[in-house]
Parts: sequence; C-alpha cells; structure tokens
Amino acid sequence: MNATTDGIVAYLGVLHMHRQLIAETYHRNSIILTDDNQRAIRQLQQQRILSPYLQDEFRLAPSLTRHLDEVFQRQRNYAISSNFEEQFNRLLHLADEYQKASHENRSDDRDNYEADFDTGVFELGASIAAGLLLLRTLTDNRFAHVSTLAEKQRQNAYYIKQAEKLGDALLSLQTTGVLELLNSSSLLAPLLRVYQHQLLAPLDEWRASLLDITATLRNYLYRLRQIEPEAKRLRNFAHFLNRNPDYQPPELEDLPQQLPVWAQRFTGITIHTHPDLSRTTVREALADIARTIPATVVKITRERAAGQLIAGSDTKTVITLQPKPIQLAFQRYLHAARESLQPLSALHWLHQQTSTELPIAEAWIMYVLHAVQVLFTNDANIANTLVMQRVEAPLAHRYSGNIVVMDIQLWKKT
Amino acid sequence: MFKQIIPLLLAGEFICPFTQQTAHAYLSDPNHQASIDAYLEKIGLKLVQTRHGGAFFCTHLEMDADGKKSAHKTFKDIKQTLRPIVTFLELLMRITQQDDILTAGTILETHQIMTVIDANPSLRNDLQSLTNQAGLRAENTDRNRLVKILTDFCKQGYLVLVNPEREIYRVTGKIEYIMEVIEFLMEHEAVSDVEESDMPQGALL
Repeated sequence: MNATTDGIVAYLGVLHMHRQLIAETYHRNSIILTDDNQRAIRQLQQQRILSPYLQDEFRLAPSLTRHLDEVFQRQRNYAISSNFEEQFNRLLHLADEYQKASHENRSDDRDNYEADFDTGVFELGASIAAGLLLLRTLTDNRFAHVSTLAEKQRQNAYYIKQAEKLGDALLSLQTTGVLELLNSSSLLAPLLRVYQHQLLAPLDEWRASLLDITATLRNYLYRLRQIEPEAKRLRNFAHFLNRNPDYQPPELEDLPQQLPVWAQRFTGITIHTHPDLSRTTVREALADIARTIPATVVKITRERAAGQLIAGSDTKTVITLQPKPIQLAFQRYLHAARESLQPLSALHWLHQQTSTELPIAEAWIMYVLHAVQVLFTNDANIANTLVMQRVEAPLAHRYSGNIVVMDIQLWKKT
Repeated sequence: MFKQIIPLLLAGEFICPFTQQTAHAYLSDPNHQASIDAYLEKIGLKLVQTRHGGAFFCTHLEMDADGKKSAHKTFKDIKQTLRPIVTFLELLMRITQQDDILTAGTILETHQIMTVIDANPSLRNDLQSLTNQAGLRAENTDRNRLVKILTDFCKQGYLVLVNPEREIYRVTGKIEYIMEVIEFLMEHEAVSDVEESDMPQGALL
C-alpha cells in the first residue's frame, strides 16, 4: 500500500458505504435529498459520485452510470458513443509527445506518456468491445425494450449506422496515422507493441463479429418492413374466421394442380435403427452398456401360512433358477462325451437331438467352445478325464490371424 | 453435423436458429445445403426454406403417391390447428401491442403477458375461449390456461422455451410457415383486406 492506492481504497470505501443509496439512484435515475440521506448525499457529492440535477435532486455521475450500464447490460436508447476519432487523435498526440520526450531524454515525461498511451489504447479497445457487445445484445433481443414497430425501425436504422461507424473505426486501426507514426521510429517500439497487442490482435475477431451483427441488423430491418402487411393480413384472417365460425380450409382435391411449397412438406417418418452384431466394435460397445445396467433385484415374496407371522418363520425361501435349454443340452452332450471313447462331434450330436428348443449350429459351437474352455480351466477332474479338439477350417488368409472353428470334438481320455 | 441433420429433416422437423442453432448454422452454408440436398434428392425429397429464411424443412420432390399422402396429412393438421394458432397470434399481438411477434426470434415473457391479461377482462375471456378452442384442459386459473397454451404451442413447434426459470419463450422459424399458409388460404378464399377501422373494437384493443 502507498499513498496513491490508499486514496483509491478510501474512495471505494465511500462507494461501498453508500451502496444502497447509489443502487437506488441508478435504478430510479435520480435521488431526492431528505433529512435522512442528506449527510450521505453530501459526502457522495464531495467525491463526485453524485451531481446536482434539479433542486434537492441528484443523479449519479455520468461516468459511473455508463460503467453500471455496461456491467448490467442496461440498454439505453440510441447509446454507443462513436467518438473514436477523438480517441485516435489523443493517441496520436501522446505518441508524438512520447517521441519528443525520448529525443530530449526526459525520461519521467516519457514514462508518463507511455502510461497514458497504454491506458488510451486499452480504453479504445474496451470502447470497441463494449460497442460490439451492446450491438450484439440489441440484435439478439431485437430491440425488445421499445414497443412500437416504428420505433424499432428507427432504432434499427440508427444502429446500422453506428455499426458502420464502428466498422470505420476498425478500419482506421490499420490505416490511421497512429500506426504509421508508431512504425516510423524504433523509439516508439514499446508503444507499437501495446498497440499491436491491445488493438491489432483482436481485430479479426471484432471484424467477424461486426459483419455478423450488421448482416443480422440489415436482415431484421428488412423483416420489420414486411411485418406491417403480415400483421394486417393476420388480423384480417382472424376477423374472417370470427365472422365464419364454420369455415374449414379446403380439401386437397379442391386446390390447383400445382401445390404451393408449404403444402408439399414432407411430414416425416420415424427411423428405427438396430445394432449390427456382426461388427466387433458394436458388440464391444453393447457389452460396455450392458455392464452399466444394474442386476435385477430378485424379490422374494413369502406367503404367510395361516396362523403364522412371516417374520416368525425360520425357513429360508429358496429360489430355484431354471437352466436354459442350451445349458441342459450342453450337460447332456458332456455326459455323452464322458461315455464315448471316440471323438464325439458337438455338431453331429446336436443334429441327432429332436428337441425344438435347441440353438442354431453357430450359437451351439460358440457356447460349447466357451463352456469347455471354462470347464477345462476351472475343473481339474474334467481336464484330466476328457480330451477336447477343435475342428478348424483351412487358413484362407494365413496372415489374418483368424481361426475359424467348424466343430468341437470331445471324448473320454484313455 | 450432416448425420445429425438428416434424421431431423426426415422426422419432418423445422430447423430454425432458435430450436437447432448449430444445425441451422450448418445448413446456412451453401456447400452444406448442396450436400444435404444431394442426399435428400436420392430419396425423392428436397431441402427448402421458409420465405424469409427463418426455417429449413423438407418437401417432396414430386407429388407422387407419397407426396399426396403427406399433403393430405398436412391439410388435416392445418384443419385442426389453424383456428387456435390464428387466434393465439392475434391475441398475442393485442396483448403485447407488438406486431413483430410474427417474426422468428421474438421473445415472449410469461409474466409480462399475464400482467396485461390480468388487467383486462376482455383478454381474460379471449384466453378462456382460446383454451377451449385448442381443446386444452386447464385448471380454473388464467395463469394455468396461459401456461397450457404456451406449452401446447411449444409442442407444435411455434415456440421454444428458452428460460424455464423465468418462463421466457421465443417464437420459432415455423411462424413463417404458418404465415405462408394463411396467405395462401386468404388468396384461395378471396378474403378481402378489411380496413382495420372496420373491425370490431375488441380486435384492435
């Protein structure tokens, strides 16, 4: 902390102390002097936060009002300052004075001019950004703060002109004498760096934003000019419908051969898609999804026996899970294989079965292959008593790495 | 974006900057339009825009059997919805005293509309009539009626709820479609341009 910052802190303290009064003044545009607020108003007046407006009426200082407008996006009619030319002239003078101070070795003056130039460039950049933001807000809200069509048209036309001025200002950033001066001497390099960083760097983004805003404003102005006849047409049609309560739009057959575009509208279809299970990536994705689905909670409903409480029953309810047909078939195949001294083909065994609930051959082979692998890994007894052999198709593409299993054979180990 | 837009168009959706901002921006590029159109052409459809460019939608390339089937459905929908939508728009124009609600993107604030309705018995009656006309069941308060109506027009695609907390809606690009329908019907029925001074007082409040 030093003396300079202490003053700012004290000033901000005054703002904070009277925040309610300031907010009220901003909201109502002015404040009336009363016995209660007299002391506070005088203090704010001394700090140039409030300025006298009429007798016993005060307003916020315009600079503070502008700041609050920007912060709270409050729309003022016909806002946006366009005195960019003054700001450019100021920068030109500051750069000129900086150069002279540098030549004459007045380092303190030079530093002051540099600081002022830096602030001036920042203010110019902030003005352009704020102008663009305000235009963007107005464009997006379509001048919602004014009610009549004529007002909207006038404001729209005004802001198109402001946008053009803003466009001129953006153009001037590159063509103005300031840049020319900054490029003319190496002494001005520090100022050029600031100018490039604060103004030239965001220039493309500003230009794109302005182009978009201007196009929207022009389009909206064009639309506004068409609204009046359309509104009149709608009122007339509403009036027509009121006078003809039984009116029904015509049938399609009563209309001319060439239908208008709106009548040829495609009313839409519902598209249903199904996963392609032959693709590994799809299957993996489905497996990931399946893993996220929580297991079904098995609810055990205990029936109360006559004369007994459910809670008093010590017997545990047992749920018997019914094996699936493919599981039963595999058990039967396994049993047959344990008895067989010759290789027992899984496919051949399947074809011999008469049950209608058996799976198709591909699914059966896949199941048997997986189940036998699991059994051989987990059950030493099975692994020691059975022999398993895959019947593989010849390698069509030897480097593909694919092994096509045609059949599985199981038989008892001798 | 292409693969997101095609299903929307095939579902018969209107793509406007207030319902599908990214899709609309994509379609605004002539090159993208051409690629979408080339795809649609293969299945007998065409990409078109409403007259003022507020929304993209699909039409049949030729009025074959499918085209006629669609046209029948369109006319059936219009028969069912025309009267409530015209009444609703005309009522909104009276409530807001702004004609530009007929442009896509206009903001409608529920509480502002409700404040005006509350202060005007004629508008309250009109709101009740509109609720009945649209076949909506609402509890016996004007606010419920208004919310039901706004929700219904959202479902029909004429409005979009942009701020659920503050109940702010935006008029969508589909408004331009219904305005084209109205213009056509007026021409077909030879509805004369009645001078506004000839209209009943209530219609011009």
